[in-house]
Amino acid sequence: MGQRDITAFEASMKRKSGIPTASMCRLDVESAVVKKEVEPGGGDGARSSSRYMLGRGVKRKLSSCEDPAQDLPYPQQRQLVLDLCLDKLQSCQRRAEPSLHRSVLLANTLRQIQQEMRQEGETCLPPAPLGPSLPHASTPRHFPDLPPVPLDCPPPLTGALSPSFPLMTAEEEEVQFGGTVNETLLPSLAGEDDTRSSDSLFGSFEITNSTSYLTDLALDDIFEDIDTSMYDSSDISVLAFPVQRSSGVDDGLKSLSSCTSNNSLQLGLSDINDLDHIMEILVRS
Amino acid sequence: MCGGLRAGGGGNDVQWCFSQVKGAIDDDVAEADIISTVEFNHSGELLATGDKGGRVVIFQQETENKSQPQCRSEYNVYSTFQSHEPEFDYLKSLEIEEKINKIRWLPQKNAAQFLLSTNDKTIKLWKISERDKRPEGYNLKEEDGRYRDAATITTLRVPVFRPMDLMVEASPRRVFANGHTYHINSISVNSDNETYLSADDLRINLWHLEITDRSFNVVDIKPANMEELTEVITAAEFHPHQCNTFVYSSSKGTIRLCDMRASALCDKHSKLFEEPEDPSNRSFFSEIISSISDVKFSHNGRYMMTRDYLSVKIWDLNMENRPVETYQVHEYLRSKLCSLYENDCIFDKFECCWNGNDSVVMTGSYNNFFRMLDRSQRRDVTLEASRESCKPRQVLKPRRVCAGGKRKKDEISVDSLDFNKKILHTAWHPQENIIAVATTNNLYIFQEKVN
Repeated sequence: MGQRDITAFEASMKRKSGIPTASMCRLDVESAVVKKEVEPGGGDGARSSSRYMLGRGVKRKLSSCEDPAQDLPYPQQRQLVLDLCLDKLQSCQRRAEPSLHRSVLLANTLRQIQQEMRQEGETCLPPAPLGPSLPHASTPRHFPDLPPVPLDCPPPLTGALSPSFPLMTAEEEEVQFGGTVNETLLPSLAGEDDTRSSDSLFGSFEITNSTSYLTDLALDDIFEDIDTSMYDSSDISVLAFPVQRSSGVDDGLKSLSSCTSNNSLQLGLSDINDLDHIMEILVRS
Repeated sequence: MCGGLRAGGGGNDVQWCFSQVKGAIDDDVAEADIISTVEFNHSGELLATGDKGGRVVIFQQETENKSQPQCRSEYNVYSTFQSHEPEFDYLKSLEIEEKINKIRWLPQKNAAQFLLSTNDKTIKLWKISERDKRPEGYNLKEEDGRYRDAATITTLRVPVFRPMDLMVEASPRRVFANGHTYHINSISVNSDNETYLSADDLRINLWHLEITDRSFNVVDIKPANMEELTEVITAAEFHPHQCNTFVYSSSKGTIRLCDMRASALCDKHSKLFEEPEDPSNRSFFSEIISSISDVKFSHNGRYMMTRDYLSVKIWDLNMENRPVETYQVHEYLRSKLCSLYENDCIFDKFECCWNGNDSVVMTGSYNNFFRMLDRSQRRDVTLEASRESCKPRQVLKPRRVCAGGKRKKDEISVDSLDFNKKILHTAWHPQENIIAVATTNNLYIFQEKVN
C-alpha cells in the first residue's frame, strides 16, 4: 500500500464515519481537491534526485499551491498540514536515511494539531462517551467490539486493531499519540517488507553494532517461517521465543540450532496464534 | 594576507570579491561531491571540506608574496583522502552513510596537522604530515625495496636522506567507533587539547583523544519510553576557553549550558537559554522553525550564536531569558512556510560562523545567497555565490529580495528563488577577511577587496 491508498482511505473514512461535526463537513469537500495538489515530501529511493532536490539545472520554485493554502480557512489549512504530516511520517520510515530529528518534529506537529482538533471537538460536540473524533485516527472508539486481526491477513482499513488501544483521554496523551500514529501506520505497513515495530516509531533509529554478530549465525534458517519484520527490539524477540532463550549467546545459539526443526514446525502450526498473541502484547505496551 | 583585518573590522566597510571556486562547474551534480562541511584550521592556512562521498579535501593557502601587496594568496589542494566508507547495519538493514558530517581541527602542536572527521557513527582522528625527504642507499635493500642477496654484501653503507617531491600523507591515527547509537551531529575539541565531545540526537559523549575503546556519557536525554520523545539534541560545542563548559542546542529552540564540574552526568543544566515565543508569530510550524540547527561560541567566549530556520540569535552567556541580538536571515520566507514544509526545505540545517574579532556573523540562505550580519554597525548585506560573478577580483554586488508588491530593479522576487541552491555551510578565516562558502558541490572563496 502506498501513500495514495492512505489518501483514499482517509477520504472514505470521512464519508463513512457517522459522527458529524461542523469541521468535518467543510473538510469533506475541500480535502479531495487539496490532496491532489499535495505531493508527499521525500521521494523513493536513497539516491533519487528528487529527494535531494537536485534540479539538474532546472530551477525549482515554490509550489504554486501555497497561495491557495494561505487563503484557506484555518481548519482547512490545519487539515492540509495534518495530511502532509502523516504523509511525511510514513515516508520517513521508508527512507534510506531516517532522521530522528525530522521524525520528532513531525510527530510534535502532528500531536499539536490533533490536540487542537480534539479540544475543538470537545467544545462543539455533544458529550460523547468515547471522546471527540479525529478524521485521521483510525478510530478505535467507533468499533470497540471488533476482535484483533491476525497478522497473516491484511487488517480491514477501519483500524480493527482497536480493543487493545487505550481510549483517548487527555491524561493518556502520550500513549494515545503513539497509538494514534501506529493505528494509522499499521494498516498501510502490515505486509510491507520493511515495516518497523509498531510500538516504537522512534525505535528504529538506533545504529547497532551488529556487523559481525549476525554473520556468524545462520539466522535465515532459524527464522524462515516467521515474518520478523515487525519485531526489531530485543524485548519482542524475548516475547516471541520464550522457550528457546537461555543464558549466554553461545548457549542460545546451540539451543536454537538444535530446536530449529522442532520450533519451525511448531511455529508453522501455531503461527497465527502466536503472532496474534504477540500483536496484542505489542499494542498494549 | 595584505593588511589583514581592519581595525574595527566592520563587515559592511568590507567589499567582498571573488577569489576562487573549487569543484565541477557543470550543472550535473554527482551526489558524492555534495559538500557537507567546511572548516578552517586555527591559523587559517588550511581549509578542509568534507563531502557526501566520505572524502576530505584540504586546501592550503599559498605563502604570500610580500613583494607584491596586491597579490592575493590562493588556496590550492594540499591533500585528499577517503575518510569514511559506507557501512551496513545488518540488524536494522540500514546503510550507514559515509557522508562527513563535521570536521574539526586540533591546534597544531608539531609539524603534523591533526583533524577529527565524523560520519553518522564513527569519529576518526587523521594525521596529515608532509614528507619531502626520503632515505636512499640502504645497505641491505635495493632501491626498489628488494632485499639484496646477503652473499653479495661486502661493504657497509649508511642510508642518507635526499630531497624528494613534497608528498602529503593522511593517515588515520585513531578510530572512535561504537560510541553512538544515534546519528552524530557535532564534534568539538576541548580547550584542554586532550578531550573532545561528540553529540548525537540523544546523547553527548566525552572522549580522550588517546583512548578509543571507551567514552564517557555526559548527557543523555533518551526517555525510558521512546514514544515520549519530543526533543532531540541538534548541536553541541565546548567553550573556547573553559574546559569544563559546553553547550548543546535542541529541536525545541533551547540551549543548555553544562558544567562538567557540577556532576558527572550533565543531564541537569547549569543554564537554560530560551526565548519565549512571540504569540503573534504562532503557526503550525512554530516549533519546527524554532529548532536550532547550529550553535557557535564567539572567539572571546562571552557570547554564543544560534541559528534557527529564519533567524540568527546572539546570546550573552550571562543572560538566559532572551538573546541580546536577533537578526532575520530571510524573513520573507515566513509567509511561505507551508510550501517549505511541503517540499521539506523547512528541515534544512543552516550553519553559522563568526569572524575573527566577533564583530560580524555569517550564515547561508537559498538561491545561493548568504548573509553577513554586522553586529557593531547593525547592518546586514546579502551576497550571492554564483558562477556569474566569477571573474577574478570581481566585487560582489549586494542582492535584495522583494517580499511582495512591486519588484524594484535588481531585486529578485521570493517566488523566483531557487530552493535547490542552498548554502548550508560557511566558514570564516580566523584572522583575515577570507570566507569559504559551500554551495551544493562548489566551494567559493571570497576575499576582502584591497584597494
